Amino acid sequence: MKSPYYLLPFILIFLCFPGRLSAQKLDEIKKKFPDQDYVMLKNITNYTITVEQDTPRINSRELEEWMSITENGAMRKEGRIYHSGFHKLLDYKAYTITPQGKKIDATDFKTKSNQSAGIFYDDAKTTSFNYSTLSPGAISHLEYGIRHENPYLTSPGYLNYGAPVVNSELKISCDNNIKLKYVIKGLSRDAVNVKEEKKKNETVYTFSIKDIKGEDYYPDAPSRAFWGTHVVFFIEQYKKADGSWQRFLSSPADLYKLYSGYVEQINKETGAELKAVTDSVINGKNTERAKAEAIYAWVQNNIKYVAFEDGMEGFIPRDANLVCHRRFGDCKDMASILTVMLRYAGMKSYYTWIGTRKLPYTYEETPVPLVDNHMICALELGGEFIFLDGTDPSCVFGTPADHIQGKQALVGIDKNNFKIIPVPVMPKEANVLTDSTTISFGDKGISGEISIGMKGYYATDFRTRMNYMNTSEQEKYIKELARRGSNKFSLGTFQLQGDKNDRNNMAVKANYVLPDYGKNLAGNLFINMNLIRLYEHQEIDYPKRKIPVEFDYKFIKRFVTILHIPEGYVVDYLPQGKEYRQDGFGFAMHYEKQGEKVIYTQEYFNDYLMLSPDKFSNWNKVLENLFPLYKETVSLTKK
Amino acid sequence: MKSTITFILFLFMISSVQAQLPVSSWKEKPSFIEVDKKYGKESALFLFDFRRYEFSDQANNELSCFKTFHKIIQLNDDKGIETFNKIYLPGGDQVKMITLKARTILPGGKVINFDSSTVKDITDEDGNPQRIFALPGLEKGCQVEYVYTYRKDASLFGLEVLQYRIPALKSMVQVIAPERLVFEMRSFNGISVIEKKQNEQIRVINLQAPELKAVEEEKYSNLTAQLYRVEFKLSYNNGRDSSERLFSWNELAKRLYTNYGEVTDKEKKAAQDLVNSLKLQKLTNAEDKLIALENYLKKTIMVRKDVESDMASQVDQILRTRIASEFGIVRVYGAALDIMAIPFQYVLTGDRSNYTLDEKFENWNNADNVLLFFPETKKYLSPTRPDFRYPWIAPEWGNQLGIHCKVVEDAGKKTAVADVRNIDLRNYKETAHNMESRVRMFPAQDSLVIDSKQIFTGYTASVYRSAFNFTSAEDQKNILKDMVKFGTNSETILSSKLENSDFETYSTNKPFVINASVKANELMEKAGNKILLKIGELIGPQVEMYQEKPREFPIEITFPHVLYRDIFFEIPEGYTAKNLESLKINQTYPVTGEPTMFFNSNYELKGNLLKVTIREEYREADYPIDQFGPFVKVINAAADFNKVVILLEKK
Repeated sequence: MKSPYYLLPFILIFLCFPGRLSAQKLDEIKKKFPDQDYVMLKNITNYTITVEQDTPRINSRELEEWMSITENGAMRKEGRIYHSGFHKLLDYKAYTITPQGKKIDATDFKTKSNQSAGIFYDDAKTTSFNYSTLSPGAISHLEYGIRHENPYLTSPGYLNYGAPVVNSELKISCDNNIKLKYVIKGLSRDAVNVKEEKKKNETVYTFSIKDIKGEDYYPDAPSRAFWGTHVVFFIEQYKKADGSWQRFLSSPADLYKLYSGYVEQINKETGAELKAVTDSVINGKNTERAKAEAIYAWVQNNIKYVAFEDGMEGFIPRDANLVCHRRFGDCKDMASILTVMLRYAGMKSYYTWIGTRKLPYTYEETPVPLVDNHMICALELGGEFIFLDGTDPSCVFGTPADHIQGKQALVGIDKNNFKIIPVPVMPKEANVLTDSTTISFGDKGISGEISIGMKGYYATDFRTRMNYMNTSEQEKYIKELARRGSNKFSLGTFQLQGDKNDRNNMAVKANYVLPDYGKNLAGNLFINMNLIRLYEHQEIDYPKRKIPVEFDYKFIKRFVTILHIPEGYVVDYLPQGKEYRQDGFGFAMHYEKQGEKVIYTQEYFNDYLMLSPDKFSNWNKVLENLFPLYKETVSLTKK
Repeated sequence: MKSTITFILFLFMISSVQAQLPVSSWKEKPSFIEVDKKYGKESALFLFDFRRYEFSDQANNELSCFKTFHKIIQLNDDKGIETFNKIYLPGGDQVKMITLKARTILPGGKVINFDSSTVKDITDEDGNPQRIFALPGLEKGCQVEYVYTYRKDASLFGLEVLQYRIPALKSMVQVIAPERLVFEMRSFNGISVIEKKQNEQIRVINLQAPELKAVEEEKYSNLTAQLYRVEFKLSYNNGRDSSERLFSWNELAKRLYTNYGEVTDKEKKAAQDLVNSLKLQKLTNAEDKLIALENYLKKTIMVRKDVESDMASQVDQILRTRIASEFGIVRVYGAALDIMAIPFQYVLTGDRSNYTLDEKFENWNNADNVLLFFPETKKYLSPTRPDFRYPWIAPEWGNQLGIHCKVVEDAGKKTAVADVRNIDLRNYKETAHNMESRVRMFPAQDSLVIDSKQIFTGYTASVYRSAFNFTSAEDQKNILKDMVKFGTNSETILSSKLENSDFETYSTNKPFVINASVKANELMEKAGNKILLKIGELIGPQVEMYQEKPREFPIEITFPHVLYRDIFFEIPEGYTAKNLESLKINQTYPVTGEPTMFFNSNYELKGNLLKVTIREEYREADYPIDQFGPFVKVINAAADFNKVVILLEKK
């Protein structure tokens, strides 16, 4: 899909660099932002939006200046400009301003493709160069112009970055023929200063922020669009030469009009190959549901994900006949073939646009292509919608792919009609991991059996992984999955237990030995039954952290450990269990002696897809209550 | 080497112009190849892998090379399909694609030809142009086949790796050249059949590889270096002088000496200004001078492989712009050292993690890395690597042959000859990761405090110094946290202090020290009123080799080193420690005589002070495969110690 590349001009700056104006200025900056190697002095973007020949035209000029503070900062000399077919780079200039005020041009300009992760081909480009003669106090200056070829694809303007920014400003000048709308998003949105100036021929919107500290990075955070401070702006209407106002992106209906144009020219006919494939796939299936399930499974198994995104190829799905013949495609192509096959089999299926959980936007607030980055097929079955994502090879029919849970689906009913339908979020009870271990003492340590039962997304994730691994990689992965106690863990034989027709469940059974775990000390046996410590070191850096924590899905995890008391021994010390819950997450730990066994159950649950900072203190409280339990050891003594 | 030397070749053209040969292995009507069932578990396998280099004279008096690749691959599962459904070929203006054919052959024999409209041009991450396309109609069990020929300016060295993580049943390399050009070919890591043919027009070398089995990464081994590969080079030009060996190491040394060492007056002056401004001549000994020079250059000048402008290779421009190519920075050192009259040699070397140099088979392309050697101290300097300081070089560039350009006088003019000899790594004693931990326990508060010291010297110190020099203050906090967690399993740092984290102290091998005081309650466990102290965890998690597959390759560690750990534990008042004997572990190899590797731990109890002493040493960088058993024992002894727990009981 079109997704990432129209954001790129704005992501850039993480890697571009700095320089010094005067010693005084350097000292000032050092004081303001201690411990930094460089800061961004200016991040200024000027958009101009006009109407020419009854079409909105968008151009922008970008200016950025960085100051190197230390020798280390001055070592990072590379600057970059991101651009693409939709965002044409018109001109650029980059130079260093030395501490003495001398301007020295940057060198080594080169342009190369900039392939996004997971995309086989797209037309995004990076122009990179080196700032010459950088030293502490020097300033690196970059300015460039971009022509935004497609006025639907305005990029959001980010105001903060990984480094501190002294002066960040987004200015949009719209001539009087443009009605603009904007939304400010992100953690520091309240700090953004907004100014709207009406002039004779234009209105100028200015969004600015000063002296903002660098963004922190956390690997478990949601994508930057959820917290980075940015302005989403778009043209609602524009005035044509005849004086009438043309709706552009004023509502989801306008956006749908654009989208339905993308699918208008494809799939006019269902070719012989596609018909034959569909007929053979649904052969013998008697209900619509069974047919639909079979078609979905065929696409999941046979169409491989290969994405070509060249200009409009990033938006217009390919013809289903071509997809069928080639046996590969991107998300749009998979949506295309699913829709056609289901229709051919007599069902109501629709092209559907959706933003994955990487995007925080809604169609109502921002009815622009930026809202979505993905296409699926929606099937109407028995009055309900089922969302079929062709790119997820293990997804269970009827369950949404995990990366679209809770998102709005824009379902294209026909040329003029659409529906916006929320995709369900799977409850924690649907995603359950039940992991049990038996423990028998031996001379050198412990051994026993492990059974890992997976339900819901645990099962589908696991299947997907297994699909793309060879035997030896599978073995390695399962060893890691089963590992517990210490790195002396040794996996014996294992089996995967799964039914092809029940993708929602999966199990791994294995046996293991774990030398040196469980200790025979001074005649007593000691064993810590917390072979798995799920949340060890998972405290959130609160109150410093302001960025949410994201989870793939809601879950329940249960670890059951069964200790066989060796003959001649009795339990000398059995730790106390404990339960502790906060709103939406918690644990229950429970020890029980049953005959010659000690059974320890750890249960954890999490009812959040995203944990916002107001919950962090509760989260840490749960962990504070939990950690002492991890240290508790069972002791057995001779009768 | 590839980037720094342009080949000036007088190949003495003869007039006949050759076109590239057809590929006879490509059949117009392919049939599905039956594959032995024993390969059924592989995701994919190469059934046929043919590579041809055809050198031929062109009308413009240039030598061109037509490269042809023909591959047939069996795809057995989804992973196989995912791996081979996207094909990446060389691209760009320098590459003229002459033929490109690709098809999918289904088990029933049905053929699906690829759609050339899916071919796209991109550049890879390093900016190298590529042509890419996706193969159509793939399904499990199918075979894909593609052949392509392209023309490129001739490079007179070649290297082809033929072994992969999947088996390759039939692999061949062919070099065809005009009769006057004599190429030599060699295979590494396997036995091959080489056949040579010639007629009046051409010479042909055919190499047939053995069946190559799938290989996997092994701990303490460099996989790329172990793969079966073929190299070739031009050795004689009979059109000129059939007795003169071309592209010898001596010739390389001579060229290097000129290319690096000859500087213009302007450059010389810039170097002189640098020496003056750094006041290097005021330092009395040569070593101090070169250390000061290195520190300045590495702190201020960015060195990159991918800068191509002329400025980046000129001494004066480099010192002004602070941007240098690898070639350029070596020239800066050369000019400055010459001015200070410090004797040195340029050295070229390979990389143990992929390809190293061979004394008899001179593949210049493998001589990719530059060092400077100082004969007076017998030490090296790594001009292109900011993360090392004299005498420490990237260890993967050492422990192998290096071409030392020894300066000689020839007819009154200075030039160089190749002195091909080993680049020794520094003695194992100089590289250490040592630890000292003082542990205090407060049973009443259920708490444990560790004062820990991690000490790094030698090759190891580079990585950690880099972490505290080249990253942001915020990253440094996280790195420190991670490092302190090693050996304490705790993130609760009470205080910390670094010593000698700067690179200036590296040359004298002053230890880089991380001191931290940590609350590490995690190391204490309770069973009623008994306390378990996980004392083994104080040495940090250790590499384990408990469950190894049969070993394929010899053992190679990056550098010889020692790991000494001392633990001091005050047994709390009113408690006694049990099972202290489990602290004694000893694995030494060889058992008698001077050991080459060992792990040895012991303890001493004086009053309530327990002192545990651990000595672990790896004195060599290489251990032969027959020492794998003892090696695993030593490695695992450390991992075993990591599990040791002592019991504290109330008196």
